[in-house]
Amino acid sequence: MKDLSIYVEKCCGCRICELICAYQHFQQNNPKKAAIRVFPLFPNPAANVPVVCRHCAIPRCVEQCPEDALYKAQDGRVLLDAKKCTGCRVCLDACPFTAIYFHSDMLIPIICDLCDGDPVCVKWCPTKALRFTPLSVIGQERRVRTATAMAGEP
Amino acid sequence: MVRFKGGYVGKIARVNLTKKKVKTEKIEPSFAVKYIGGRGWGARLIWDEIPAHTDPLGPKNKLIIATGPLSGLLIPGAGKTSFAAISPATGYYGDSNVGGMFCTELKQAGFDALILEGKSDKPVYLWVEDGEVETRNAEDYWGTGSLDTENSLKKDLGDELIRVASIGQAGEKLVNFACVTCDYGRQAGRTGMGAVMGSKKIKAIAVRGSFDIPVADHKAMRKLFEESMRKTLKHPVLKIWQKQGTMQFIDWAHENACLPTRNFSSATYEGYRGINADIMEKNAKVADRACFACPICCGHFTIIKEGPHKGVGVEGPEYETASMFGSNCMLTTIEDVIYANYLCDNLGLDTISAGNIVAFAMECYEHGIITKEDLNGIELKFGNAQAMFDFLEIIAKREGIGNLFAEGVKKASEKLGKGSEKFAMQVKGLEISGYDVRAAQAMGLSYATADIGAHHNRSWAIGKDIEIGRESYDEEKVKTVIYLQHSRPLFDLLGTCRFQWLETEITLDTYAQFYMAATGIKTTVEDLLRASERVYNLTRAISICEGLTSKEDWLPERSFADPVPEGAVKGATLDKSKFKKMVKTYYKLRGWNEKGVPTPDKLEELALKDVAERLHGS
Repeated sequence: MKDLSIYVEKCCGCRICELICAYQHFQQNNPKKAAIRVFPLFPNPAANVPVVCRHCAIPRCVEQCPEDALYKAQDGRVLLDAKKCTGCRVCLDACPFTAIYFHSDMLIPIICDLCDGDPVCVKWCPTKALRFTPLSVIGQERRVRTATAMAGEP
Repeated sequence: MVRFKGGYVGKIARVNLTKKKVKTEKIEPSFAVKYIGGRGWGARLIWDEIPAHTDPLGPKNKLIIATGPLSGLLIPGAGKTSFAAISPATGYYGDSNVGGMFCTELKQAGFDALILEGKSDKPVYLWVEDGEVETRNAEDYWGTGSLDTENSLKKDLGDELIRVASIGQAGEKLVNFACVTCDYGRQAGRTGMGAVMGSKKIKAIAVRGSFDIPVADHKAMRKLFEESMRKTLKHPVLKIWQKQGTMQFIDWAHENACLPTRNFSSATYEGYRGINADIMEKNAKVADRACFACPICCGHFTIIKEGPHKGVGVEGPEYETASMFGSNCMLTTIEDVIYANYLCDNLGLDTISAGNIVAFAMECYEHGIITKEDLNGIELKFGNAQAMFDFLEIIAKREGIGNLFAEGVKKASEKLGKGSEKFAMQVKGLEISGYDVRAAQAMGLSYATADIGAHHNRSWAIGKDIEIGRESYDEEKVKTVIYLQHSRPLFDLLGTCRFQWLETEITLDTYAQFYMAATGIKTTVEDLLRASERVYNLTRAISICEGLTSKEDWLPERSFADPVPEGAVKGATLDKSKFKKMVKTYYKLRGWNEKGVPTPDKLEELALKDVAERLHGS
């Protein structure tokens, strides 16, 4: 399976991910209807932090959903069965990253579905802070940086 | 009958601070389209609603905060808001455009624009959320810095993602070049819009919105976005912009001898490597920082990593700040530039004007026009960073002699006299920004004729000077200035940034298509440029009614009298009579009379018949 790989240090905070996510899922110009949100923290720490579902291996949201509306699909994604969901927000409290969003125009939560295997946020991220990679290489770029530092001066 | 189906939200909130009353007004589509948005709306509302000779800091001046039809949309760089009013710095039309996230939030809260009028008796902040505007008590925030206010508001309102526009102590104290800060690090810096906000006792505007921004054709919008992004993401200059932003131009300006140094007396700076992009990246940059939907992300967070100000962080510096404080005041380290940037952002001072004024004061000090005693012990020599920091504080708080410099270089030099007028580097009362023009005639003309006073953004024509010759007063340069004065401010009407056009080459035609996709109104580039020309003539008309004459379409004496001492254009000065001829050609090509007044014919051609009638008497 592939999943989002987030390089916080590369995020510039432009929110293109939010906007294009809302276009993709709701055909609306409304970044508040996205399944991802960027927090521009300042000054301590000074960083832009995208918060989005990590499709956890052991998803607490799925465990605690009282309606069995959330489920872990075969391909590894955490998905929502809209017909079963009551909008009770138990999943929001269960998620360790609070990466589940709500909007007053909608009864059910907005949760990342990885755009059925071709996430638009990754496609248009201008600094490559978001990647879509197999789990075996998630975090690889940072790992390479660490390895380079460990190798020391040539 | 014009109708729009999107782009605009369709509503303006009119906030009367005297009565604490808020009225929501529908926008007349013909008005919306004719003036497009942003500073265009600001200009027309000022023309219609503010009588001539209104005190810029009195209750009758109005602060118009307007987004554009493309602000907040799926367009690279759609993050601009315009602040417009009669400027306390110049007494003429003033505006300043700011990036960040404020415009998106305001439109999502249901408003294209806010008109702030009257004057509150007590400090207030405005809370704008989903169709409602409230005035709230701000006594707890009054007296604190801009960044501190934003921090406290976010804490008190319990949401890190509300967007805030705030003023610092300088705005409260009505310093003529006080700015408005948005999103911690983006400033509506020029022409003293922070002082206008302070005069109304508005400490801040906090916004949160969740509405959809209407778009006429989402499919077309997305297609245009994806085409523009494909082009942008593979553009060869993208990387350097992301890494260094406008800071890359410090080296360029030094090499081309147009880097203001020692209060514009020199055009090269030996110590430029101490304040340039490379040293910033190496010593201080911690993260990129973009405005809304911008892939270029020219901004950056920097943090001072050692020395007495260790731990202080800022969004910036960018080229203007680094040149005006760095080379122009002769600072030697990027850390000192960052600290000056932080002080200005928090105190609420425009870094361009502030850097210019400190350099002016340093020159006055070195000529003995002001003394250590006048300055309460501050040794205001070029390069003395601590003295600069102390001086900025007394300006912002109007303490002692700071009170004089808080008026800006023009008024300060008039009061100081003793020949200081010669090195007061300003046009129309607005301090010159970061380019030396002694071998840049087009850039000089840009400063001399910019509608808000000496500002580079209206027409960054120095590229043309370097392209066709540093000694040329050619008509081609005049034409370039006029073209740029329409094409560049067009982006301030649309509510987007111009860098995506200038740097990553998204065409003007694409913006016309974006406008069509957003509003559903058929438009061409010519229509848009004509609207921008209309606004340029309107802002001119406003200033003429306030008393502007052609005498002020001119440059400070230093540009003509003191030769560039070294570098690529050593020995250069501007020639007065040739420059005068250039100004005359400029009037002629613009359809203005020899006094620089737009002719009735020109105004009618631009569908401003009513403006012609008031300007020329009917």
